[in-house]
This record gives sequence, C-alpha cells and structure tokens, in this order.
Amino acid sequence: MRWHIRRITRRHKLGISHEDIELDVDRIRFGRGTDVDVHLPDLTVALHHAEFSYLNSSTVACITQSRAGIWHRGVNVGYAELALNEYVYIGRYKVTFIKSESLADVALEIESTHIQYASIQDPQAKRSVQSKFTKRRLAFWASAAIIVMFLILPATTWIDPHWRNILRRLDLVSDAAWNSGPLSSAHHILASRCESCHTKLFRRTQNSSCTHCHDDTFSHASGRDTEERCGSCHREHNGAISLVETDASDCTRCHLQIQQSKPKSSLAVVGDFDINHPQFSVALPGADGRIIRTRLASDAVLSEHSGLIFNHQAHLDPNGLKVGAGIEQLECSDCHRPVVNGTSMQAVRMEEACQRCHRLDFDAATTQELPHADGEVVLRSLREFYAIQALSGGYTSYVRSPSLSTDEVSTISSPAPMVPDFIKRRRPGVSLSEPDRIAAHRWANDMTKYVAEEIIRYRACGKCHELTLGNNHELPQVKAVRIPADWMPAAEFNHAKHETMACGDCHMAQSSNDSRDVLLPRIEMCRECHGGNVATTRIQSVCSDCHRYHSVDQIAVQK
Amino acid sequence: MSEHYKIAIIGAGPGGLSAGARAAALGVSHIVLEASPTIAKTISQYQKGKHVMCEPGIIPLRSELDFSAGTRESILDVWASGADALSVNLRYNAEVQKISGCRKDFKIELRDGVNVNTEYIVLAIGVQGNLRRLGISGEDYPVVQYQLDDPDEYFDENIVVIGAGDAAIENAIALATHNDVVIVNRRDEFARAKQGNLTDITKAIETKLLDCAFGAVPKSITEIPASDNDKISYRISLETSSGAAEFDCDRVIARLGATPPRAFLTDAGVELPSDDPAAVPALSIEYESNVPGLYIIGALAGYPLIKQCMNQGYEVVEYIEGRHIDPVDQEILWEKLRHIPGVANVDEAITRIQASAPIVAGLTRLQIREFLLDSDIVKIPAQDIVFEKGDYTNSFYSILDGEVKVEVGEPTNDQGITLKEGDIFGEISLISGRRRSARVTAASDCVLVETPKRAMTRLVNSDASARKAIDEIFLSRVIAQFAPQADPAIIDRVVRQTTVEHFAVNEVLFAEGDSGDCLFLIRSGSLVVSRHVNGKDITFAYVPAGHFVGEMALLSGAPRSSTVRAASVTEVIKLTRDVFSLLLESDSMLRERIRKTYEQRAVEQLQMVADSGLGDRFTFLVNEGVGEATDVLLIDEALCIRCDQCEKACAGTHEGQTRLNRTAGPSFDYLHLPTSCRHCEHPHCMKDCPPDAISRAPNGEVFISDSCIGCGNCEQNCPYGVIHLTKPGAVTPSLWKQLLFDTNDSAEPNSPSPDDAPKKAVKCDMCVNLAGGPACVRACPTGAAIRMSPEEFLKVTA
Amino acid sequence: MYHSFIVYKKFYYLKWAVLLTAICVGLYLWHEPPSVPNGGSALGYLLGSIGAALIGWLSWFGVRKRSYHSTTGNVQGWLSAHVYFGCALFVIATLHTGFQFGWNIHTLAYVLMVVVIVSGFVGVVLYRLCPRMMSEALQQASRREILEELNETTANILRLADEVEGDVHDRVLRENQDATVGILAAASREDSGAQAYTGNKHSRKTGIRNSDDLSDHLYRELSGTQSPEAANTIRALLSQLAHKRELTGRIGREAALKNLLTIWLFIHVPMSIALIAALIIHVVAVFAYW
Repeated sequence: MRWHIRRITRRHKLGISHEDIELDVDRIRFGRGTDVDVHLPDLTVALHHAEFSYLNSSTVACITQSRAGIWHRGVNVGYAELALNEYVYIGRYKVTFIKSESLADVALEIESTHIQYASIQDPQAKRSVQSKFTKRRLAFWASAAIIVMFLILPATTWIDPHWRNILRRLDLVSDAAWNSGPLSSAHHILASRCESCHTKLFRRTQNSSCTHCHDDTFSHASGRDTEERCGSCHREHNGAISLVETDASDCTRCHLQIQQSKPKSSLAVVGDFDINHPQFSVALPGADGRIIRTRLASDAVLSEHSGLIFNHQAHLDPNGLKVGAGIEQLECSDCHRPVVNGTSMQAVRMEEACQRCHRLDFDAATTQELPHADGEVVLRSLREFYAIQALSGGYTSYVRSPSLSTDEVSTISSPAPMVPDFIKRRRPGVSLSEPDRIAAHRWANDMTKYVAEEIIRYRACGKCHELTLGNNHELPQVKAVRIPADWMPAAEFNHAKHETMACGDCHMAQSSNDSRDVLLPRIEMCRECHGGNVATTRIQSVCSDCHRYHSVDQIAVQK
Repeated sequence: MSEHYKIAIIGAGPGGLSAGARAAALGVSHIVLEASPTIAKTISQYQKGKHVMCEPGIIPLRSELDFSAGTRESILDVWASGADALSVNLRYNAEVQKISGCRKDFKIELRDGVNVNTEYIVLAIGVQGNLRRLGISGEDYPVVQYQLDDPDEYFDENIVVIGAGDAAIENAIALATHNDVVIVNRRDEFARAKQGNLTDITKAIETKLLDCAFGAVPKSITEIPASDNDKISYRISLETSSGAAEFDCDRVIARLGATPPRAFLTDAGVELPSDDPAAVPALSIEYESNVPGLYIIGALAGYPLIKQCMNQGYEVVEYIEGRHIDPVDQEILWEKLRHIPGVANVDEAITRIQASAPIVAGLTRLQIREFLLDSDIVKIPAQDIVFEKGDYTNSFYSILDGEVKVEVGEPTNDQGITLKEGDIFGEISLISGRRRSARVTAASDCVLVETPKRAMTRLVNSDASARKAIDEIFLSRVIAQFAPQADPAIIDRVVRQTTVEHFAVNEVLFAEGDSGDCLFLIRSGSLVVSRHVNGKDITFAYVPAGHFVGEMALLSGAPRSSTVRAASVTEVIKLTRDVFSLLLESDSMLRERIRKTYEQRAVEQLQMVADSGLGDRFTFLVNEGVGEATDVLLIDEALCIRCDQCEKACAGTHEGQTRLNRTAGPSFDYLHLPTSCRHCEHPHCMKDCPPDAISRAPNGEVFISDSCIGCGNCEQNCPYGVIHLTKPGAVTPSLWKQLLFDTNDSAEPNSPSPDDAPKKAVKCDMCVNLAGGPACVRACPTGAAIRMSPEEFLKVTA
Repeated sequence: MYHSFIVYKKFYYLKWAVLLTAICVGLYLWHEPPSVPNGGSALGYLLGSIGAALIGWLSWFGVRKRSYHSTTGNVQGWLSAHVYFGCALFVIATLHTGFQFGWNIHTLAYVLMVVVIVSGFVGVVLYRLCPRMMSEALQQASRREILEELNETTANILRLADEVEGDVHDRVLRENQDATVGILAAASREDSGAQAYTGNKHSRKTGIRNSDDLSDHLYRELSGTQSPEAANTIRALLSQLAHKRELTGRIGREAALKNLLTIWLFIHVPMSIALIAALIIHVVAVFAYW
C-alpha cells in the first residue's frame, strides 16, 4: 500500500509551502517516538499515538491505543473513519484524508496548528459561540406567541361566526380570553357569547343590546331627553353580584348637577338624604283630575280636596264609637290593610271598612242595602225595589212634612222628617190595570227620588262624600272622589319593613279632624331613623332604598 | 582618476534628490553620490505599504520633484521617474570615505577608490548613516540581511537576530510569533533601547517567546550541507563569556545600527555644539556649515520632515548659484511677525525678537526662524486674560512689548507682580506639567511670543544657555511662591545655591529615621510619603509638583518622620539647611505656613494609619505608575458587574473603536485599574509625535487630532499600553436597528473596518468634545467606574 | 467615592417612588367604587394609565443604556430609578386590578409584570452580591493572569508526565484535553453566556473524574517505584495537577458567578417585552369590548 504524506506549513501572506514523502506500508504509524513512520515532534503527541489503515478508496480508518485519544468531530474517540477531506486531530496536528494526485493509493495531509489553551494573546476574543439562546430571540418568540394567541385569534372571531363557534369550543383561545371577569348571575347564560352585548367593536355596549331582552324597562324620566346608557350604572363583569346599583353616586352624578344637564327641570338638587333631600311631595289630583305634585309643608298640614269627608280623630276616639249595640275602639288597621306582601297599603274600600257602621239601608221594610256604586246603579236598585213593591202589593206613599223650608233642606246635617200620606193596597194575583201600572210606576219613581234624596243628602252618601247640590229638584251629585293611587309615586315605601313602628308614629291621624288633611309623614320623621349616604349613627340610606330608577313615571290615580 | 563637478551632493534622500533635480534643471554640473543601491534608503526601509504623510501642511513645496501623502511605494516611484525625467547625474554604491579640501577645491574619496573634486559639497546623508556590517566570514551569504521589510514574510524558520538596539528588538519580537528566534546581544542588558521596547523584550524572554544570548559576539557563519530534510540551513558560531556557542538557523538578521554621522562630520571639519548625539550642527541662514562651501541639509541639519528636506535641497542650490532667495517660510513668518509694531520685514522682526527675548539669544537666525515657525505672535488688549489659574495649558510666553500682571493669590487682592518687555512667564507649567499656578492678565496692550511645549523642549535640548536661563527664572519664581515675603536679593542668592536633583520611579529621596538636613521643592513629577507602622509600610500622602516635603525635620531638627519615594520621574529643588534659614529670616510668615501644612498632613496621616487597607491600595496604585497621572479610570470590583457597558459606550461615542479595555489591567483589594489613558502630567506619547498630533485641552484631556500619520511612536512610548493603532471602525448600526434586528446580544465594540483605510493611533480623550464628561463613567449602570485625579485616591474607601 | 445604585444620591428615587405609591394607595382607600373595586372604575383607569406609563418608561431604560451620547442624567441614576419605580409599579398595578383575577389576557399581563419585577429583585440581589464574590473567587488575580498560569502549569504537567515512564503521558494528554475544552474554553470566552456554564458537560464531568484516576494511578506508581528521581518527578507532577485543579476551580467559580449575573436577564428582558405585548393587547381588548 503506497501512502503519500504531505506536511504543509501555511505562510502568512505567501501561500502554503509543503514537503511530501512517499511510504509503502500497510498501516502507517503516527507518534512522537523514534520508531514511527510519521514523526510529530510535540509534547501533545503520545509516543505511539495513532495508526491509519486503508479501508477502501473513499474511507480511511484511524485507530489509537493511547489513552490520549484522537479528536474527531470535536469528540475524543479511540477509533474514527475518515471520508474524503475529513480530518482528525492528533495532539496539535490536524491530519486530513485528501485525494492523492500522485500515483500513491492514498494521501494524508498533516498541518500543525497552534492550540492555545486559552486565547491569551488576544483577551478581546469575545465572540461566543452564536448560541440560539439570546435574549432578543426569546423576547421575539414570547411576544409573538402572546400576540397570536390573545390578539389575532380572538380578533378573527369577528370575521366569521362559524369559525367563532369552533374557537369557542376551544375555550381559552377565543375571545373568551378577553373576558375581564365573570358575569353577574343573571347574565351568566350569555357568558360565552360576547357578541350578544358587545355588538360593535370599540363602541360601548349600546342600550339597544340591553333592551333586546329587557324591552319593558322604562327610561328614567319618561320621554325627557335623558338618554342615559344602561352600562353607566349597571356594571357587568364584576362577578356574581346583582347589577342593580345601590351606589348613590350613579344618581347624584346627574341629580347633583341637575341644573347643568337639564336646565328646564324643576327637580331640586339632591345628593344625600340628610343634606339636601327636599321635603316629600305628594301627588294630589287636581280639580280637572290631573295630578299635581305639591310639596308637604314642613310645619303645617297640607290640605287636599279628595271629595271625601272623613274625620280620623272622631273615628279613632279613644273611648270608642257606638257601633250597633256595643262600643268599639277603632284602629288604623280596621280600614287600612297592607297589600299581600305588605309593601304598600290596599285602597280603603267602603264595603269592608265603613259599611259596618254606615249602613246603606234605605227602607225600614227591608234589610237590603244599596250598593256602594254609581248614582245610576243606586237609583236603579231603589227603583227596582220600589217597582217590585209597587207591582207586588200595596205601598204607602210618604210626603215631606211641610214644616221645613226649602233652605233648611240644603243643610246637610239632618234629613227632612217624613209622614205617611196614603196607602194603596191590591189583591194578589190580579194583574194590574194600565192606570194602576202607571201609578205604581210613578210611585216607584217618586219613592226612589225621595229615598235617594234622603240617602244621598242626609243619611249615607252625604256623610262621607261631598255633594254638588243640583238646582231645586235635581238630585245632589256625589263629587268624584279623587284619591291618588300612590301618594308618593316617585318613591316606594315598604310598610312591611316598618312593622316595628305604630301607624301613629308617622301618620298624625289622631289629631286630624278634617278629611282635607294630608296625613302623610314629612321627611323629618324619616330622618329620625334614616341617615344619608354615609350616615354613621342612623341607617345608611341611599337613593335606591326608596326610589326606583326605571319605573318613576307611573303616576296614576287610584281607581 | 578623478572627475570634476561644480556641486557634489552626498546622499540621495529626499533632500539630496531635490538638490540634484534643481541643479539638473539649472544645467549646473553636479553629481549625486548614494552609498546604497537605491534612492531614499531610509524611506524604502519603512514597513511595506506604510502610509507616508506630507507634514507640516502649512509649508508650500518648492522642488522640481513632486511629493504628496501616499504609500511608500508610490512616493519612491514618483521620485525615481522625476529624477530620470530631469536626467539627474546619480551614482549608486558610491560610499564616501573622506572629504578634504576647502571652498572651490574639495576632494571626495569614494570607497571604490574614485576621487571626485568639486567646488561645493552638499551633505544630505540623513541621520541613519551607513549600516554597520557584521565584518565576519560568511557575512555574504544571501540569508544574512541588514534590514527586515515585512516580519510576516518568514514562517516557521529558525532566525538569529544580532543587535541590541530598538530596530533589533522590534524585528525579533515581530518575527517571534511565527518563527523560533534567538537574539544575540553583545552586552548583558538592552541599555540603548526605548522604554517600551525594553519592557517588551524582557517580557518576551521571560515568557520564552524567544531566546537571548547575552554577552555573545558573532564569530563566523558556515553553511551546513543539506542533510535529511532538503532545507539548507546555516550554523552561526558565537564567542560568549562562557565559551563558544553555535546555533543552526535559516536566516541571520543583523541590526547593528549605523556609524553615527557625527564622526563623519567632524572628519570633514564640521563643529558640533555639544556631544549630545541629537545635537544639530550650527548652520548659517543659507545652510552653510562652519566649513565654507560645505552645506548641510535635511535630517542631519535638524529638519526630519520630508517636505522641509526637499525645500532645503532646492534652496541650497539656489544659494550656491548666488541667488539669495527668501527661504520658503518667508511669507508664513511674515504673516506671523506682521503684528510686531515697528518692523518692516522678517529680518527686522527677527533682530527685534533676538534683542528683547533673552532665551533665543544663543540661537542662530536659522534656529530662530524654526523656533518662530512653531510659535505664535499674540497681541492681547489691556485687561484681557492670557491664561486662568488652573488651566492645563503649558505654552511658554516671552514679552515683546507692553506689560503683564501675574496674580498668584485671589484675583481681588492685587499683590501680583508685573512683568515688562524682555521677561518671560508660563515656564512653571511648562516644566512641572501641572495646571497654571497663577492668573496672568495684560496690564497694557501687549505683544507676546507664545511657544508650544514641543518647540520649547527642542529648543532647551539644543541650546544649553536657554535651558539655564529658564531654569533660573523657574527657580526664583517657585521660591518666590514658596516664600512670598522674602526680598528678591535673598531669593537670587538662594537660587544660586540650590541644586536640582533627578529621581527615577520608586527611588527614595530620604528614608524614615535619616537625619533631616534639607527641604525638597518638587519641580516636576510627584512624590509618595509612607511610614513603617507595626510591620507594614503604609503610604499616606501623595505630593504633586509645586509642593514641598521634608520641612519638619529641618525646622525641628528631629530625624525624618517618614520615607519619601518618587511616584514618577521627578525633579526636585534641594534647599539645604543654611539656605533655608536665609529664607526663614526674610519671610516671617514662612514658618507659620509650614507648620500649618505639617498639621494638615499629620491629620491625614492619622486617618490613613487608622484604615490600613487604604494605604495598601494607595501603594498598589502608585506601583502601577499612577503617580504621574492626572485623571485615572478606577473600577470598584465590588460594584462592577462585568457588563462592559463602559467599553461599549467608549466604542459607541468614538466611531466604533473602544479606547478602554476593561478586562486587561491589574486589580488589588476590589480596586481594578483597566487599560485606559491616565492623561499623565508629562505625557510620554507627546514626546516625539512627528506631526505633533497629540495635544492637551485646557482642562487636562490629552487627545490625538486627525493629523496622526499612524507612525506608532506614541504606542511605543506609552509605558501603560493605552494607545493602539487601528483602522477607523465601521459605523455601528443605529440604536433601534440594533435593538430590533441585531440577533446577537451585544453589538460588536470593535467592528471590523475597510482594509485600505490607513491605521491611526487611538487613545482615550476623556470625551473632550462630548457634553456630560467621560462616556464610560456616564454609562456605568452600577456606578463602578469613576475617573479621578491622584489627589482623590485617599478618598477611595473600601 | 463609590456608591451603588441603591444608595444613589441618598435614596433620591426611593423617596419619589414611595411618594407616588402613597398617593395611589391613598386614592385607592379614599375612592368609593360604584360596585366592587375594578380596573374599569374612574380610579381604575387612573391607576391603569399610571401603570402603563411606568411600564413604558421602565422599559425605556434599555434604550437610554445604549444611547451613549445622551446626557440626561447618568445610567446609574436611571438604574436606581428603574429599580425603585419598578417596586412602585407592583403596588400601583395590583391596586389597578382591584384584586380581580381570572384566566384571561388581563391577568396574564399582570402575571408577566410580576415575573419581570421579581426577576428584577433577583437581579438587584445578584448585582449586590456577585461582583464581590467574583473578585474573591479569583483571589485578586485577573482572569488573564490565571489563564497564563494555567497554561504554564499544563506545559509543566506535560513535560513532567513525559519523564515518567508508562502510559502516564497519554493519560495526562487525555485529562488535559478534557479539562481544557470544558472550563477553559468557557473562561476564555469573556462574555460567557448561559451556555458557557452548561459548557461541555461531558468534558467537565469526565475532566474531574479522569484526573482522579490519574492521581490514583500516580500514587500507585509512587509507592511502586524505587528510584528517588522518579518519585520526585511523580510528586512534582501530583502537586502540579493539584495546582491546576485549584486554578480551574477558581475560574469555574468565577465563570459560574458571571453567568448568574447574566442568567436573570434572560428572564427579565424577554418577559418585559412579552409584558409590553400583553399590555397592548389588554388595552385593546378592554376598549374593543368596552
């Protein structure tokens, strides 16, 4: 086997100079000793360091017995196979397997390199291996991942709904990642469908999104131009808390500067129950039936024209009222009864409250009572009664005693005495003749008119109702009763919550002997227990404790 | 046989060639005799491709041959073609042995026996002189050479370098990287070499980079017949003190220096003012030496720069032809001297200056022209300030007209002294290298000659009388500052009796316990005061130039209380006891003032003794040669996070080339001294910078201007290795591009640069033209790097 | 003369940071949020914009550190402010969240911020401790001097090993190569980043183990040999080996500490860039689903 060994020394600028020797051995030995084929005179080389042997035209094997080993591809090994132009390090000599130009079978090139254990000559040699682990690369990949995961993907949900559903199933990747907090319990079903409220990007949630479901909520001040955004008071994404705001700041935000935002408004500037809440105002029906908001007077009692005559003081007489046989001590709850859930009071109904004593019987002959209804209904029932009486037998006609003059009659205080005039009798079973029928009819009418006059004016209606006396022979009309269904429509007073208190504590019924007195409590009474937004000694009460935002314009008259 | 010419020009350097060209152009019979086979031998020995500059820029070129900055090769080609075009009568290998005869009848004997007689001789042989040959058998082998063109040419050879001078050392070290080198030195140490080379060679020998044979003289070189490997190698046998020695080598380089031209000159009858090797022969205005008819031009006449030699070559031929043309610097000088009142032309101005400026009294008119060329004539209106106290300027002033007021103390109390025409000032900073010690304002409109430090040092070296005059004035001024109340008569007597002593680094002035018989006033350099306390030498004071030491022993008569050593090359004025007592009598305040300084030093000493660590640190810094610095970059290793921001900032603010090497440099007790310029009081780099590119800004920064020709002298001279020659770095990418696209973390501080740009010297300039002070200090995130002056070292707590 | 960035100008920036934090905490306690405290309330927006501004300004430190011409204060001042306002940011951002956390981008931004701030704390601690320990590790010599000494020792070891017969020289060569590649290669690279410490695990480990067998082998040789010179050479070789291991130990420790100084930045800087990305998305998301 002919080996061609080329020893090269690389000149700085003048190229490479080399010396070549030819050897004819099977295995060529390298080392520092004297009995080797290729002598490498350096202490980094062992005496018998390595042997090269020829495998085939394209590979050469290098084997070493020395523990120093040879360096092949940066690793210290005992055996290495070199392809063409590959090299191995023996000590500081680099041996490369090269193509042989001369007629030798295989050629090796030896070059001595200057291994410096540490680059002392040039401590500036700072270039570190170009590691893939640099801060910038890390930063780039981290931010790219975040942008893709949390900006691009959620944004694509706005492109195509079908794609949105796919993403939604993957949960974290969709725009759910933008969800800044759990929804309130009421809206929880909408949790994963952001588009239900957030209809347009970069636009605050519009009221139209809310009214899509909440279509029946009234706007705050009916029709007036306070188009307030639902979201400004009802703040979502704050966890399973009720969205109804109890925070005073939402109301005071406008009501403290009511003049600036709504100059035309008549509302007072209100911020705190203690500080600047005005006196209560009640909804009194005006003459024409329209409701007029009138403020309670803080010192005197307000008077109203409800068309009723009722003397609380008399009824609540401590030593009782004569009812039928016995004496009965009346209480407020005898007439005023709370609604089923006790939040407000039922309207007082004549039948239950008054009829026990103010009976509407009209004729000694019968225990039947008149219905507490319209004038026509009353007259019709009287006329029916008398007509029946007339048609079914005799009747006695009465006539007013002449002793009374007409102007006395107008005093309401006492009914005119009645004296019997004549009695007409008839045999049962005999059909009436025409004149009998007309007389009976006329009698019935007269009796009706008479009894009606008496009942309306003196005995029953006049007691409680104000009458409009017709001219000479017309029946007196009962004025329309005007009692507001809700005295303070803007607020909701929950009687149930005040069970611990007596009615008299707030309503000065005992001392009111005139039905025109409005017996509603003034604000000073409430302030005894209720303080302002930040009260400490009294109950902290905010606007939402009494007022409702959405239903304030339901002012109606009590039916 | 002999030839006859009118003018014989010896030496075909730039001066000789230019003279020959002029003579050829005028058709005068002439001959140019060149010892070596090529023209301009010195320049041809420059490093290959070296960039030769055309300095000084202000002087115009008036020669038949062209010359502009360029590479060595291009300049030599221009001259060769120019000489051929003018058919200059050039004869190579014509080494001149002897010159004899007189004006109009000179005889020149050449080495090859030819005699040339001529009417006039122009010596333009430069300072290299003829290379001394080995003079041993076998010196003619091709491998024996006397100069090295490119050290990288030889690879993996055994080379013997003979010689102990700078050239031999530089060649040996340059070759040692890729070859096995042995240096042969006749004596036992390298005495003649420059400081920089000396340290390099000793370090190289220690680290076995190359071997050295001391006390060895080459005997013979024999050729060894080709043995097994076919390389012919030679054997050189040496005679050493311990017997014969032989070295096998492939090449022998002999750098034995050249026969000094001085001997050649004195043979020809030319007188030299002093035996200092750098002394320049006294020449007339027309370059005629004391031997009539023999003219000397070029480096030998003290004009090393190429353009000056060529101008002189042109002018000398004109003078010989009888045409007394104005020297080339006539207009430039006139431009300067115009301001002197009452002078019509340059000559009148020179005579006026010679009369009123004592220091130039000893100079020839030629030297004065040279001196004035470097100086400036400055007109200063009344009440204007010449220089402020504390400035770092060091130029020297001589008054031509008007008066000047010098105030040492506070500007308010005007107890300053006034100087009038003929006086000089500014010499204290010139000699001590310290800041200006006084404020100088113009009492009336005055005209001054301002001379930079380089010109002054050259003047002082070449003229002993000028040196003496300046020293005396300096002494009297310093002593006056030392004892202001003493009357001048006493001071003059004291000046005559004082002596100036020189001390090398770490040399002891006086040790603890010696008897105190004199007081030392520091003229230049700095001292370190230390004491032996419980077994350890603690340094506790650093005394810069302008102060004094050793006063207490004199006053109290007690033995010396501490040891004083020189922190840098120092010159002190020694005042003996009786001289000192003279001063004491005439200045009552002196004793009081000395006692006060003594107290202050005692306090300082106590503090230092308390914290012994500080003392050790101080000694470490002084041993690192910081004694002569004015502003040193110190890094507190307890804070330094090794982030190299300081280097990046330096590179960032200086065209991508950092001037600071944080990692290099010694450290001691958490204090690290990186390799960065210390802006010394007497900058070694400024000593011989041919284009005078290194200058000092008013507040102390030493910086290199653009006119640097990359000769490397400063790199050689600087003992601290803070100057290096590099090509200007490529522009670092903009900040945002770096942040966003530069994938590797740290921008490369020393980015590579285009190949063809000439190398320039680069050093720290303390960010002289940057707002905000040194960038490295500003950019250090943890405040570890601080630049401070030696006085502040004492505050560097652990 | 030398003050660390922590006591820079007598805690100047600490005072400002404490003031800002106090103001924000005061505001938080005084403010009555309409519902529960959350990022969306008026104070939430205020604290959010202060936090965002702080994050922007703190990351600007990277730019200021690299703009070497700038003269706005010095980098030490900026670092001191960076540290203290980083702490302030933690408090302000936590108040901004109103302690509402969940699996969303908003909390991711907060978590990233906390990671950055905590790694910043780690950095401050390391900057205070590591430099001093590094100098102690090198025992006042500079890295270059130790490398030079290491080279000399290795050369001596080779020379001595050659004089000992047997395969000691080969073993030394092997051990010598390993140790060289591992520690020294790392140490010679000045800015040895994270990968240096990991180095070539194979070699660092085998390097040490290998030299132990070598020592055992030498001891056996020592006991077995008769000739005094051989004993002396072996003893010299052993002392050189011990010295070499001590030197590589010192360099190894110094390289490890230097790595510590840069490893924490591999978390701090990338995470702060990621934080900026997350912050931008947080703002976009909040105003997209307003």
